[in-house]
Amino acid sequence: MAAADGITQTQAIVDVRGLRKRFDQRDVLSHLDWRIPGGRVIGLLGRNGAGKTTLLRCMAGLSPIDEGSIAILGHSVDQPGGKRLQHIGFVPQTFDLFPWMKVRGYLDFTAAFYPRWNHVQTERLLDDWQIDRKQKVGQLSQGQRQKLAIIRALAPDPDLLLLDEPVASLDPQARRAFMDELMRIVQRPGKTVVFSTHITADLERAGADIALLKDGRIVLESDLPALRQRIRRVVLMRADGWQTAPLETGVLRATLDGTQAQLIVDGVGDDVLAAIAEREHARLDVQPLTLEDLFVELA
Amino acid sequence: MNRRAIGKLAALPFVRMPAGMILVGVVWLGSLILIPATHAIAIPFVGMVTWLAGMLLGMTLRTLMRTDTLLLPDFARILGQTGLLYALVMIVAPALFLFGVTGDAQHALLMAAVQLLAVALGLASGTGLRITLFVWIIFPLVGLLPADVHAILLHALTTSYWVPLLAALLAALLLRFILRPLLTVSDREDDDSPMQAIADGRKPANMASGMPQQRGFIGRKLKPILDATAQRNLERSVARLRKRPGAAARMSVIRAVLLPHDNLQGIAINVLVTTLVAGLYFTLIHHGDGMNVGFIASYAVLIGMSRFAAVGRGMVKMQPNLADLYLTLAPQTHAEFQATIADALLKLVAVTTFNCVIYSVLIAVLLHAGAPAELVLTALIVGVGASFGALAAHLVGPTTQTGRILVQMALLIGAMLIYNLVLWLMHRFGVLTGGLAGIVICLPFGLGAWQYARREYLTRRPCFDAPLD
Repeated sequence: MAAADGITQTQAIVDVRGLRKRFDQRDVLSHLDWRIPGGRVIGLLGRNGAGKTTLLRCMAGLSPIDEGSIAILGHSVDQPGGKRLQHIGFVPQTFDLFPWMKVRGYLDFTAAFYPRWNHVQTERLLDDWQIDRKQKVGQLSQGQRQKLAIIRALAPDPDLLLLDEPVASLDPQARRAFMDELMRIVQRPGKTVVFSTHITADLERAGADIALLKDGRIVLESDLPALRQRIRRVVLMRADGWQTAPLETGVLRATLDGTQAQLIVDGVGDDVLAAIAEREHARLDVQPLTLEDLFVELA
Repeated sequence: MNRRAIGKLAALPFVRMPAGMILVGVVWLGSLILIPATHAIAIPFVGMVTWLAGMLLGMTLRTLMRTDTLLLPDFARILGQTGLLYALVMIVAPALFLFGVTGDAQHALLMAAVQLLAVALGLASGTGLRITLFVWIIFPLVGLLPADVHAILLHALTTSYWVPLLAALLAALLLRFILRPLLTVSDREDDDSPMQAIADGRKPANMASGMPQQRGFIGRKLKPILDATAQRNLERSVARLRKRPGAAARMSVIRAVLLPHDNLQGIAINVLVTTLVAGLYFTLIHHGDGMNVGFIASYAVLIGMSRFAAVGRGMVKMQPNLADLYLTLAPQTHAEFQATIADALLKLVAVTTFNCVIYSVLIAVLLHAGAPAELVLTALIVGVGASFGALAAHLVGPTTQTGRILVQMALLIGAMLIYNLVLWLMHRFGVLTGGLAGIVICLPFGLGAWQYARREYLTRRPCFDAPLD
């Protein structure tokens, strides 16, 4: 099935409108709108408790929503919708696979229900990631269980992969191997990946687009180069020192320290910065931010 | 002394099981107040309620004993001090009260010792210690003792200071058995399906969320065998589904996953183990006088039905696991998924009824029952009705721990009462008429409850959240 029921890459694979999700009278997600076109890798960022897991679970149809709508692969998730569900791969944050089953039995059982199942890839990953097929799922380490959850999610060759902190328990080698595997998948046409993570280096390696979840909404969507171009660290230096920040509009944060004024600016052009430096008789230094710096500034 | 920590620990049973603790507390106080009026009745009653309270404390204790709790500073000492506080209330205070009322120090000491023993036994039950099984063997063994020994024991109970001392020592020994494994940081045993039978070495109390499961010698030996049968059964079911896909093959695979040990070999092993234990038990009590065969035979239903305690717990505990099954099965609607789960569990009705009948045959043989066909037929009729009813109750019943326990207790008592009623009907009106009356009583009730519960379950949206308790 090409990109699930005729959804093309230009159409939204995920279409979330006015989503509201409450827990005990507390809004976790509020009026959240989010459209994800096909063929993209999206890194979902947000602080602890921002609602990333809740959003991904709602998108997978595993958690009911209070208001709004979610359409995945062109269909509402109000009901599971049959085989459509098999085009979604989901790796949960906690590994709620069947702990009493053996790895081999678990994968055989799951495979029996899928019309397409990549046995070659599954066997290769089990070997590469050193998972004992005869072991019980409950006997695997956290990292191994996470690997198994990833193998299981990848095996049906899903069109949409929802990964909730998929590398949190993985060692650096396994993390790199997973990212390589992810890259291989997204090179296939029509594949879309949404994954939440705190390891920003992985997002940079994957060249993922960034979506920032804050205050129950997606407050920022951008690709990395554009984000880096938009948000920068500006250092203005002069011998007289600084009493007030030399710029207010477009400044996310200003730190005045002796001769230095450090500004994190959003969408302030080079010409404006040069004019300020000239006006304040200061030396100008514009530095790009790492994704981690960006996350700290924005989240 | 860390009063705040002791206060928190002491209050924990009331926080976790408020209804149960308050109910037990009120009944305990009520029976204590009755001591001056009729202490022959009130004192044993206080002991029984103390045993129940001990059980609730044991259940709390079991959920508390995790590695991270054990590593809290001074935890063992604070736990000991909290224990002393409870001992003052549950053991010392009633004994002093009795002494105040009767002025009889011997009696007061005996009461303190028996209270201590009751708490220890309750704790053992609540923490899932298998030693409690032996308590049930003590009663028939006492029945086997000659009349002279009975008289000597009774005399010793009322006059000797050694009896309270011995009872206290026995309780101390029991407490050591209970607390030592709980206070030891140990490896977690690998998980089983939350809905698995209790006959393979576990009791419902052991199955609290996140708790390591304690298995006895038999349970440890049986587990690999049962796991191997589950694995073979799953492989066969998957192979059948691949060869001939269809609704029946699909359901067979789902059942192999949700109820892994409920395959033919697994059921046979469970029946064999229960037969051996029950055989020993009934051989002992067979020699007792004045036993009611019908009442004892209703144990067949009790043993069979005890399986549903695990189902009630498993329905909640398995919620997160069902998310993966949901994505795998890819149902068209939520109701379709709920129907799949409900129908998969229907296998338990057949398994439970089969077990009830087998155990009933066993009891009829062991007790040399006069009318074995009546016992077996009653077990069949009541087994079917009660299993449907129990499955219905656990499918849509309460999700809290206390609620589940109350439902299970009501189901067990109800099933035993109906068993005796149907048996009486057969005695009174003959096998055919009595049996038909039994069918009329049991089946519409069971099937009606099941149909209602299934309908209700289908309207509910599947829940994949991890349980909080």
